[in-house]
Amino acid sequence: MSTDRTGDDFERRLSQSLHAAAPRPSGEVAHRLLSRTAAEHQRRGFSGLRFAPMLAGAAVVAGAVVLGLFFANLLPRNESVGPAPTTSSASALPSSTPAAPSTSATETPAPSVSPSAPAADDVLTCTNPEIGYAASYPADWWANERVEPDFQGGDAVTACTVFAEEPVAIRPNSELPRGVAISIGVSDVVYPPSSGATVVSQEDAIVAGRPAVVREDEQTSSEDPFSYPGQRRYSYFVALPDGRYLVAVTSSQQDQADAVYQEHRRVLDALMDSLDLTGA
Amino acid sequence: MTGDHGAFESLVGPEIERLYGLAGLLLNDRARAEDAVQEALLKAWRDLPKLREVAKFHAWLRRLVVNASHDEGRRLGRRRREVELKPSHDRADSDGLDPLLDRDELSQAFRRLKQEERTVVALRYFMDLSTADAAAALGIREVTYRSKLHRAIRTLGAALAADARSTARPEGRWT
Repeated sequence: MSTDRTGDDFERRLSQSLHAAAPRPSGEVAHRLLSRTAAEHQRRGFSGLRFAPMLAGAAVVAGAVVLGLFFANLLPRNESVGPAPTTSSASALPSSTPAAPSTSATETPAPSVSPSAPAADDVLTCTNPEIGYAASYPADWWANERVEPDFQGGDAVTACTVFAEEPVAIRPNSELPRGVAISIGVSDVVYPPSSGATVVSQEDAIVAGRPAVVREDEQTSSEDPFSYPGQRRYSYFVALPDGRYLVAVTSSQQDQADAVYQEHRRVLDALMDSLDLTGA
Repeated sequence: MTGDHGAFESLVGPEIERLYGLAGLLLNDRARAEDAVQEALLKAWRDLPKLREVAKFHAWLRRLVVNASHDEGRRLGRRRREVELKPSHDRADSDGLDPLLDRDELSQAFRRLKQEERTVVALRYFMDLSTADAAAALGIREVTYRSKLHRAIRTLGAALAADARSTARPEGRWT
């Protein structure tokens, strides 16, 4: 097989290969996927009338596809995999079912979708003139303003270094309060995981055009008094032009669902995607 | 409510096959693909009233499926690590992996990519999305998407080249 990966032919073969390899839902699966949503409580306010313009074009196609899948017993395109197993029988882990909303995966704010660049009302941008960066965060989140030191010689909390889903009170020269989802600071080194923690994943990356390390570690013992066994930390270490590292971290919390941590991880990813270090 | 759910089904129905295929490519596991699509559809249905711009519904739905697939992938990864701690355990039986992609060298190489790389490739070459739409599905900027796609294709090419070399030089051929 040719390994030329630059030409149209490669792209065409890749596309064909993926289309051939992708599983197709049986009619039963397609029906099940849709019918489960009908049993789910919906937030107030939805009216199908809002979608009337889109529905006008979609109705005929939708009916044909859904009913076709259900009644025609459409075979999977990839016959080698056999009949589609049911969610409960084939998966050893808890399934995401309508009856278990608490297992909800990472939350995605509905309004944050944008086909090209984030819309102005989806994200806000804050700047930190001391370190020299700007970053965008969800518009329904909160980011701190600069907090001046409360005694002479104390350290200020610089702006755009603390992010939370709800406003929190930041005091200088104090630990960050509960409720903080993401914090940003500066370190002279890519510091190792905490005592008693093991690296879950670590990879090199480019963030804002600078070399970076993205690491997730998990506390496996109680050696660190500031952590609990099982706690996870997801950290970015971005090399700054002055030789230091910008460190952005989110951690799981003992009293929070894993989905919250996963959401914070994704917000941190997006925040790092938006990072602008031109002022550094 | 029934009428509104009918409208929801009309919007989602035509997309289910592609969304399920996307999740299957990202997870290589039918059961987990169904879980991911189910999770995304439930969230879409629950949060639909919050969607301010209805024209972005399909982009939003794709993003929900990608996110749900990544969540499933992380759960699967954790499960794999747990399983690997037990040497006597038969991993292939325990994690329910389906050999969905063992059709040809390209799909085998695709399967070996990291999940993020599979996602950027699948959004372009399976979902046939534009750079702007694919970037929106991932919640990243277009320039970031282009960069990730470039790296993923380069990795895919390297995997194919390695496969080609190993095929061309069977053991003992040069003796």
